[in-house]
Amino acid sequence: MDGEKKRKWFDPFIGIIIVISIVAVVVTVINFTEVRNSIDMYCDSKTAEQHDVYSHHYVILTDGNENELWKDIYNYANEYANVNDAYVEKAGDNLIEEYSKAELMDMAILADVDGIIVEGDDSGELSMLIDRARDNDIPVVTVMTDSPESMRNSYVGISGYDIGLEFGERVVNLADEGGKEIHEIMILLSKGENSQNTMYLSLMERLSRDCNFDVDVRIIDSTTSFSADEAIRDVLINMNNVPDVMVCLSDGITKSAYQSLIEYNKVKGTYLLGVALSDEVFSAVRKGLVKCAISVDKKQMGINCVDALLEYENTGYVSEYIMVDTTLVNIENVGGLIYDKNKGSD
Amino acid sequence: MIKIKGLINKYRVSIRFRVMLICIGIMSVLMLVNVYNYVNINEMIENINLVYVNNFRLNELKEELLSVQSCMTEYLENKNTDSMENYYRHVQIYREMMSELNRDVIDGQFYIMEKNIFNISEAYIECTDRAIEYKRGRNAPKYRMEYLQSDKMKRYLTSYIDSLNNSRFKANSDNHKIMIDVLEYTQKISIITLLIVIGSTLILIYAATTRIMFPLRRLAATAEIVAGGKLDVEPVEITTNDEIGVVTKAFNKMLFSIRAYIDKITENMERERILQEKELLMNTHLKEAQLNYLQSQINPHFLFNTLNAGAQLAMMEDAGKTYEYIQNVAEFYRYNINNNKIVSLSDELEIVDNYMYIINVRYSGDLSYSKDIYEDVTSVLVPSMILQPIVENSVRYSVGVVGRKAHISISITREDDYICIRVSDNGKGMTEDTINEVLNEDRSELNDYKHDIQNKHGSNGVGLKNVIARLRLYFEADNVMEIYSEGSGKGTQITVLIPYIDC
Repeated sequence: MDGEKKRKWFDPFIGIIIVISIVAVVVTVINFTEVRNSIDMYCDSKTAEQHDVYSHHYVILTDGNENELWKDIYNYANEYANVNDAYVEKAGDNLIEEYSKAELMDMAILADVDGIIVEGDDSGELSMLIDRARDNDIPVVTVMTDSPESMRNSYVGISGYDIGLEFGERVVNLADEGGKEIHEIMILLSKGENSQNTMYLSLMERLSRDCNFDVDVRIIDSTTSFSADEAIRDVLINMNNVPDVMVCLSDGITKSAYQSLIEYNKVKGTYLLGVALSDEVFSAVRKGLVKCAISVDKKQMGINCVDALLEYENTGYVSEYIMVDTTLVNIENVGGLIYDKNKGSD
Repeated sequence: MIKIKGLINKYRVSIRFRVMLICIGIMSVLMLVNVYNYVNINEMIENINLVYVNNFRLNELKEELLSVQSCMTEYLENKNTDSMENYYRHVQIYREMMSELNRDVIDGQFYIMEKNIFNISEAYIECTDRAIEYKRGRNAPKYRMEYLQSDKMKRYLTSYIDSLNNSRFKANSDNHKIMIDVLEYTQKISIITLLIVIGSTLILIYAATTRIMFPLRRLAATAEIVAGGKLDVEPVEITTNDEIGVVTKAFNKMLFSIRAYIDKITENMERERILQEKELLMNTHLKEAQLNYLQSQINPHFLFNTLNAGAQLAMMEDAGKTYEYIQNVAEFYRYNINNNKIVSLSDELEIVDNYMYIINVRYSGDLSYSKDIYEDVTSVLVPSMILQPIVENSVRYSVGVVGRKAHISISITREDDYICIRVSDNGKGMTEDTINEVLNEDRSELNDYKHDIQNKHGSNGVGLKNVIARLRLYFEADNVMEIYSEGSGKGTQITVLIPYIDC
């Protein structure tokens, strides 16, 4: 009788059906909630509050946004800025039209940003724009290359003089090592780059101490696309003998130079010294195509730019020159540097 | 669940109410699921529709920017009032549209671009306002310069708006595709959920209706058994308090009543059968007694008339004793011919007197006869012809005993609740076996009795067994006669016990 009563009150089959129904309903509700959340996520108008909000809006302006060097510097800068309640915008990055650095600078001033990080140059137009920005109470930091004539607040970059001396030292050492006789040295530098001029001067100063070298200086016009590449090829084709050492004072010239040497099969006859800012040059060092290269600490450069703006914002003062460490990259240490670089980007 | 079930059982809940409750419950569940699905899907569709809203707004913003620029240019060219009014109207609209743009530093290219558009727009409007003011002040170099500046800003802004629009459209297209996929997925989930819920509710309906109908099916099964004639079934258990419970209760009551009624009818029939049997037996006994008697007395009417004629003759010849004898014989036969079934005890004594007179004449006065009667009980009714056979039996056992004059005595007394009629003789007595044979005759077996009657047919009397049988039937008692004899030659005493009913 008790068994019958129990059977009446509890039917396992019905119980299972009810449990399945409840589970189905709960799963559906959860599913719907998840779906709605994901739809809300994709519905951009509703998600502004989900993004981080910062107090300062800085802009970084360079000649080559797509350049890996600037991408890295921007990423480091923005990463550091975000931690310090600031956001760094890469100017012109999302615009469908291409604008010159000066136009982007103009836009940044009109957009009333809180600070500008700009790759400086010697042009009067940029200096004028920097001055206008300062007039509008927008602090300006030049990076990598300076605009010495402008009223920029600070310059974050490398010491061209030291790098030039370092290149000279390397050349002399190569001559002293005695593996190969070194007489002809070719120096390749970009047209209109003040910092490279400084490098060139200090390099010449170091080489002049040893009178055995014939130094040939070629100025490469890299103001337009592909011009550097073509100019270097012209130099190599028109030469009767390839130089014993080629010293490239920029990353772009270094890349073009070793590519041309490979193309004309003149790698073995020439020691190539350059600037290593891109992965290609690092790779070339590892392969032995580039004897050694000067590398810049991009992370330090990005951080220092933001730091300079923040410091000016907070104190009203900032150092006019902020130097970034350089490293000599050769076949011995390139593996470790590539590893550190990859680790850092992870 | 148990509480609800208990409440349902406690209070009378009709089947209609239960069915309605189930229907309402199921409809509510289905409706809720549908509404839930509808609301969700609707909201998703609305969200999907919102995807391109910002593109529309950016297009409108650009249109308005171009209108502002156009109106300003027109005013700078013509300086007419309409252009100026249009300019301010469009600036107003443009400002309103600008207010929807983001102005904070938010992580995300769209928000940063909106902020830049807002700030450049502010600068642009200030510039156009200045151009208008310079135009009104007729300062041509200044408004020309401001115009060029504003044209440059307009170019920046259109570029920004187009870029933002383009980026948003690309992102929105991707989002739209994802949303459509999600919506399709959601619709599938909705359909599956709905199917699961419908399946579950169908099973629940089946279970619920089975539960409701279970007592009815049990009742129907029991009713079928009862209809088959088997009334000896267990009452149907009442588990619900609804209409089926009421019907079940009524069915159980009806079953009980039918059983009680049938028992009563069976009992009455049995009683009637016993009564009929008794009456039949009574009649049979009487008829048999009369038959026996009549057979032994050939044509009593003729005999009676003949005796009357003899009595007349004796009177005419002055033969008084003969007359008296014949008269007694005639009385004796008249009593028998009257055929009364029930007579008074005094009538019985009278016929015994007649008999004794006749017998005495036969045996020349060798029989002495005495009576000791308690007169108060002589009116008691008894079956006829119960005393004469006993007396006849005593006469038969008394006459012929050598050296002793036969004596028959009759006494009627009342002892407690009985009237005792004792017939004593001083004859040869009865053996124990004979007494037992006479007394232990089964009174209810009619056939045996007939057999007995036939066996005794050759004797002169109707027999003691006949008397016993009729007394037992009439008074519905076993102990109606006692026979006592001390042994051979010591006479016999037969006692008839009649229950006394005080009138």
